Amino acid sequence: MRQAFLVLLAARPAHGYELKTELERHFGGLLPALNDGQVYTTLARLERDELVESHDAAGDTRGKRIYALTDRGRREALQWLGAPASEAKLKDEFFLKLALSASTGMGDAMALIDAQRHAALQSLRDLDSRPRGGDDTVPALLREGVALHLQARLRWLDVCEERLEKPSEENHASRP
Amino acid sequence: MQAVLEGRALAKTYRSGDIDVLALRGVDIRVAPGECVAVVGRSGCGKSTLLHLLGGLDRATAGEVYVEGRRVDGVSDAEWARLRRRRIGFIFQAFHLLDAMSALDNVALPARLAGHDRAGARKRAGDLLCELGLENRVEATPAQLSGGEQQRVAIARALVNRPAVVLADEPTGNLDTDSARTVLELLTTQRGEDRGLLIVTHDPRVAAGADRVVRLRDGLVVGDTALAAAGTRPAQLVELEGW
Repeated sequence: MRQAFLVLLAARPAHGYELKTELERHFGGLLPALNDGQVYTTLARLERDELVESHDAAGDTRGKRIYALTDRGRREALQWLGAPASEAKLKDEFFLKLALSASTGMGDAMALIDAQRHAALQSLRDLDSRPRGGDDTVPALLREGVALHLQARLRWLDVCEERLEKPSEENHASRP
Repeated sequence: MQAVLEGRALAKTYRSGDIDVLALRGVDIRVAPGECVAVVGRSGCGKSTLLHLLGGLDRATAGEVYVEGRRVDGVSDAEWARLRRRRIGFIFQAFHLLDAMSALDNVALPARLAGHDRAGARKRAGDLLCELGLENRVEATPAQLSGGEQQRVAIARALVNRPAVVLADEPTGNLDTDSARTVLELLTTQRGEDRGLLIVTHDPRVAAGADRVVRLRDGLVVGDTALAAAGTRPAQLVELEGW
């Protein structure tokens, strides 16, 4: 959230609630709502690290603070935007379940694949049934990205099923 | 509830040289009124064969086919042709429109063949093309239409006689992502209260649009799973690390 706020603040100074809603808007509802406490903790840390500075909003009696980017904050925002995100870190419990189920023989790997396939299809359905905003290109691209990930997942589940069904048939065939 | 389309223990064997190839080995499938069923599986799993048997484009080696509760696997070719004109709509990957005819005439043709007068057939065809967003393309010939538009004409043609069930074989196979999405949305929203829809597809996105997904492998049903209605669950599918 940290760097995302820095990038948003590079456009213009804003208060915490504006940052939260703007970020949520960029995701077109695909991201769960951000936690208010987390938003303000993040801003406090950015201020402590001298990446943003804040002042009271003019004419506001509720103590609303406006945050603005420092030069240091701008450099960090640019650096973060230009660096690639880490690839292929699949934080995924399914891998663990499949690996353990297949290697220990405990549970039913095929049933697990079926259940996972159903979950992926359901997610794809939920994704495609979301109302589409008119010409908001970025949420539309994000939606395509999520859809392609789910399709890759389904394809991969097919591969898992094929391989587990015919255990090392090819290996046997290639042995002398 | 009576199925609009049902196959029981359907089997199909092809003779290939000296060997019998078992394309289907006893498949049960039913489509309820208003239901959309997707049939998925790898190439060669038997899904197109199944669609052909259910639509009377090919005859089963064994098993039964019911259309609106009536057993039809034993009827004559002429009776199957009559059924296909009136009760079963077809949509194919390659559209199969008649090149020399306008969109309107392509859609009106099955209505004429089913005995409707020219004016009535053209009126119904025009209304359907409007519903499918083609009101400005009714006089265009297939060659003047994009792939997505051609498939929408084919959908209108499949619906013109208000069939009980529509069979679609890879309806989005020749389309880009956006056209495929439009076609799929039209297919699933044009179902009407009671019309059943059976789609054979290898596209998971099409399958996800169905109410039920039946998976075939080597001529057998290996999965049959119902999906929850669209829009009933949150779709917060993005999570960011370290947030």
